[in-house]
Amino acid sequence: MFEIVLPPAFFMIFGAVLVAIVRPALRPLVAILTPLLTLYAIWQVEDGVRLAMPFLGHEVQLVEGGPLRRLFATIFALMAFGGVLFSLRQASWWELSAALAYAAGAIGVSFAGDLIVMFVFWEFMALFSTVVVWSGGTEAARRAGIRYAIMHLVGGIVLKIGIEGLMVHTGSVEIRALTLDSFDTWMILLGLLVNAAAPPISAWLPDAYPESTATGGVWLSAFTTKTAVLALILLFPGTELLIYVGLWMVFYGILYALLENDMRRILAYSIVNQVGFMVCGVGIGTQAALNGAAAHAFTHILYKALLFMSAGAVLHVTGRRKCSELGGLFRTMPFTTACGVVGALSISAFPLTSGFVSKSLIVDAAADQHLGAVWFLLVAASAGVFLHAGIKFPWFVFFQKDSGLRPPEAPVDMRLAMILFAALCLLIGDLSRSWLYRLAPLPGGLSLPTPPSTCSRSSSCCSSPGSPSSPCCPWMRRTLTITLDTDWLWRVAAVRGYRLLERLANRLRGAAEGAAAEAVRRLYARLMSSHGAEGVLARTWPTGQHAALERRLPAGAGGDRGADERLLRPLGEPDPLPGRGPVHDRPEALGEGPRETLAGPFLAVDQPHRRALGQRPVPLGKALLIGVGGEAADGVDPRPHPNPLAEDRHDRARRRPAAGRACPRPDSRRRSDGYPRARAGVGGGARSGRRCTCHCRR
Amino acid sequence: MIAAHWLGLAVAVPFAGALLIALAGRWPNLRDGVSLATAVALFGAVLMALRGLLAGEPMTLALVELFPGLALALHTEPLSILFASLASGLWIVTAVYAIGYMRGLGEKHQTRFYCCFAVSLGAAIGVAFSANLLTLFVFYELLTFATYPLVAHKESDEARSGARTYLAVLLASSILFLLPAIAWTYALAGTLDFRLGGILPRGVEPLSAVLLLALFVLGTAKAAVMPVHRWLPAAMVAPTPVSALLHAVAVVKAGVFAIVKVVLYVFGTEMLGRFPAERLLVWLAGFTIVAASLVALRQQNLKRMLAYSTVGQLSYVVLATLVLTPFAEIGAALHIVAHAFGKITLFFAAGAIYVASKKTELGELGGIGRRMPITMLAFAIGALSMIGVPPTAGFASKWYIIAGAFQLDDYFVLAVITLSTGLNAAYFLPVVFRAFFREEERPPAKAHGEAPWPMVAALATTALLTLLFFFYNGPVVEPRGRPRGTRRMSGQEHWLARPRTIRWLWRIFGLLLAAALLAQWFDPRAWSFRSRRAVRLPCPLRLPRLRGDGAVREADRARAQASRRLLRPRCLRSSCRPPSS
Repeated sequence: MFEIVLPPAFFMIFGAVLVAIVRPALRPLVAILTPLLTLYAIWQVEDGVRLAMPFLGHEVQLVEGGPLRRLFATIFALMAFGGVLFSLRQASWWELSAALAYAAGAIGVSFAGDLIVMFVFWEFMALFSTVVVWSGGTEAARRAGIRYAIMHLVGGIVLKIGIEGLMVHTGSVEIRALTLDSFDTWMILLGLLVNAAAPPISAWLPDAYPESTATGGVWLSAFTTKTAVLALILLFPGTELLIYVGLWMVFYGILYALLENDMRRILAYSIVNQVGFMVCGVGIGTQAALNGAAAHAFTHILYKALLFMSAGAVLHVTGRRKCSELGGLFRTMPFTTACGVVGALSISAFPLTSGFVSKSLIVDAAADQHLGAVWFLLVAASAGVFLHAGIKFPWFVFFQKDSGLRPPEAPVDMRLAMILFAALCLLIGDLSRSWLYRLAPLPGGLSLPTPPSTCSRSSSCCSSPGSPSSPCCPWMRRTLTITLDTDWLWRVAAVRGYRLLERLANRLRGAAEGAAAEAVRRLYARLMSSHGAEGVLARTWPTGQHAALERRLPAGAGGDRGADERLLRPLGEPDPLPGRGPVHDRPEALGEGPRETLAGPFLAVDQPHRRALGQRPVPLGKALLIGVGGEAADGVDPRPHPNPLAEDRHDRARRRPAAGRACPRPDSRRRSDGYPRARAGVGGGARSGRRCTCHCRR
Repeated sequence: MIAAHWLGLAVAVPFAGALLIALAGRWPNLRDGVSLATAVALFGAVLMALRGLLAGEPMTLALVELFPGLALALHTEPLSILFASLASGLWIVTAVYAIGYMRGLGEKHQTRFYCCFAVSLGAAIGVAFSANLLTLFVFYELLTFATYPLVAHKESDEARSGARTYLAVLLASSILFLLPAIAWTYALAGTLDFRLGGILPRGVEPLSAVLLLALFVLGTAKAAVMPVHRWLPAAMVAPTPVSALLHAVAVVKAGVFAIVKVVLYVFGTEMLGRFPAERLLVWLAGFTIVAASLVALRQQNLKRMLAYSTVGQLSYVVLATLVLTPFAEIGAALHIVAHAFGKITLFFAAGAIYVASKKTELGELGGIGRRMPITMLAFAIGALSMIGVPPTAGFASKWYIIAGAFQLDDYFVLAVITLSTGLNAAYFLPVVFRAFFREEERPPAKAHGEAPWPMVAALATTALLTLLFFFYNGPVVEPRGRPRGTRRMSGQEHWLARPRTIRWLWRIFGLLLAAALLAQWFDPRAWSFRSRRAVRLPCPLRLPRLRGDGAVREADRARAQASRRLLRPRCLRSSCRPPSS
């Protein structure tokens, strides 16, 4: 048999595409075969760089084998198999397809030989996990999905920036252990921690995961955080900072899970908590601790998927998700209850379950490094895990007071998936056979915990608070509360901030525009008073005979007798009304008529009045023929003026609605079509008092 | 015929095509055929010019000497051939699309439309191939005027007003800023020719050099840097093929292309690098990116949102150019291409939605992805490219821009790109969600499926190009091809691991996919999104009619019913749960 070096992720991608396009009858077959074939391909990849291709000016290493990578890829493929089993009949095809593509991204990251490939598959995961969240279909799922996507895309670009900084500054994008000594490595760490759900940016996880469908949650729980753990093991082993980050995650997860009421949010917070153990293990950084982190990721995927499956089954048959609405389901759902309890025991690291095997590795590693405080906190946290996930979840969902619900047992395919994972949890927990070692050889030789030592350390502590009195702890009451998390910052504060910024910017713009328009208007009026069509320079001045003709000029000016008297006075006589200039210098005397006057082709002295009366202006030729305005102008041929610009302005002046007509949309704040309307001329600013207050530019 | 003559031919072909289109105006089929043939001929001429360039022949062609020492002349180099082949290649796709669009809507004055379209393309090619600033200016202005009738095509008040804004901003900026800048350059350098490394003398004062650059950046308003961007949203009243090719590719790229040319061939990166005040323009471009994204976030009209997105994305190119490092220049060139592919796809999709359903507002798009799956899938790919996510073209260009920023350790640029990525996701993703995962608010007045097939074919092509450019961007990054013997990984590789094998595996992968698709017999029911009404897909084997939805033929209906009986054994809904007691 020759060696196949097709990237295993491609099998999965191919399967995902096929699931989307094959006929529904073939879909189950394709969906089940895909993870199995991928698993086969994963085990064909030998150690070392197996496949490289030129990309972006680099020789990127598409596939690099190794024990650690194989371990992670194996569990991802297994998880995909279980997920397919669980969601085959329940999920829509696009959710199934997206979920397989999501798993493909995770497998691609596990085999990525360098940072570029890792990043490409990283983004692939972000995309398709968003689709899985969106498949929830509700409004809450939409919002959560968009927040989730933005968080991951921004986290992705931070990672990208870090990778590129490393590439430019060191010339290498190899995956190797880095030290936190430059901007680039900090950015890489930050990008990884976003996906690892490290506080204070962890809130995306409990925000998005519970909004998915009953089946989507199972997929989501497995891949994103665990690939981040793998990347941390590969890139930042032994970084001391990670110990503290991990401890913080551990306690953050416990605290919030205890306060939570939604059953899948409890499980989501417990993901943060469990990933905290792994991050802590990476921070400790000895070979044993790294093995522990990897093994814990392996077992965590199994039991967390099992827990999400039991929660999903409950959601599927009851349609309820709040602990306060559930209870007493064990009567009619004994099978789901049993599987849920196995998962709960595993996550609490109960002896003979999978969690016991792996968690003790990390805790022991802390002890071996003589990190006393870390050891103590981890052991204490194990007890906390027992409280929230080991007891709270199964107790309130399956036991406790009877909620009156009598749902049927979960469908067969869901049960199949649950029994598979429950069996795996118990098999791995059987230390005498060291199944974990047989499933996936760990790098650097595995030192499995010896039962006596771990029993004395971990299990004693984690089983001690497990007395029946625990549910009486006041924090574990079922309450209908909402816990405030850091996501308040971007769910509420950022939106409010944006609105505020927008309002400020709009006001500023409005003020600036108003000021500019006013300035232009004033300048224009000033110019027109001397240079305009009726300005001082363009005005005919009365001699004895002309004075009679000029009488018509100010006649329409609101009965301003003073102007008439002033204009009709004999030359040389004093002004009868001193202090009141000619009508052209006092625009208010002309009333509400339009201000704009075109010099050039429009040399009609009575133009403002004609406009005010809604008449056409007199063209130049006619004006010259008939002298200066006068009655003859009323009989002017109303043909359109040859100057198109002038005609347009003129028509617009006629189109203006009367002052009394109501705006069609008086209450709207926004123009409906989004396009700018024809603006009023520059002079329009003078009539701002008549303008509609909305933005329709009337 | 020497190779340089291909340049002249390339510029002449669209104008000749415009003439022929005008002559053939009475026969719509002939006219559309001429339009398509012109596009193909232009692309061929550009490819021949590319061949001449690769063969190393001299590629300069003087046309007319206007003043002593100042001639209208054509010239080409890798960047201009990139722009020219991009515009002409996408014109072919757009010509096909425009046929579907204009006929689908029954638009008037189609001859004028195609005629002006060809002239605009000719002007854009002229901008691409200009050998000096004067030629560039002439073609740049010609482009402005040729596009005006296209923007005002509808002849409504709105269209006229938008076109007036368009003309006013573009003309005012080019006369007020660009022309003085060119004259000033002539006074300083004594020539207007483009030369690698710049033509300005070494002794130019920093202040005047930066002022000159600012005049160039603001003068080429087609690049839509923030104070002079208002024309772009105003021009969205144009028919969608115009928005797609001209206001996402040809016109706006002519603007950024001019800026890139000025930076590389008039100033020279080395010279500009000595002026710290050049940072002001970097800040301006960065501000434009963020502010345009913020404005786009609040848009309710699809095309208007895309216009503001274009404003932001163009400033990416300007920003990358002004970062002045080698990687950033590659990134600018890549982004010209990547944005062209992505944005033309988005506009095509917007137009297809309009033709099929008459919807223009974002709020109306609920559930449209179920009626028009190919269109909205293409839209999603374009949107991802705008955000810069693999596997789309936008990833590659952003990659090089970031790398270029790191060559200077320019943290401002990094911050801008991070912020803009988040904002782009924030305004594009809701559209995608709404299209696929929401129900329709109310059933449309007339049941519809996909738009006419020429439109769907065009947008599927550009979406595929967006995806392919992620993998095959080598020709842009290394125009001369990869030097031999630079590949590592020689000794150890297995024959299956060789790039050639991988390429073949990719092809087999693609063929398998195609086979799987064909195996579906294009049965729409197999794609059903749980909707009662099946989605109708265009079938390449049996082209549907151009106009209208058409009735499903009797045979189709019978087959569909048969497949529904066979293939729907049980309810697949997740919401179809057994009732809880």
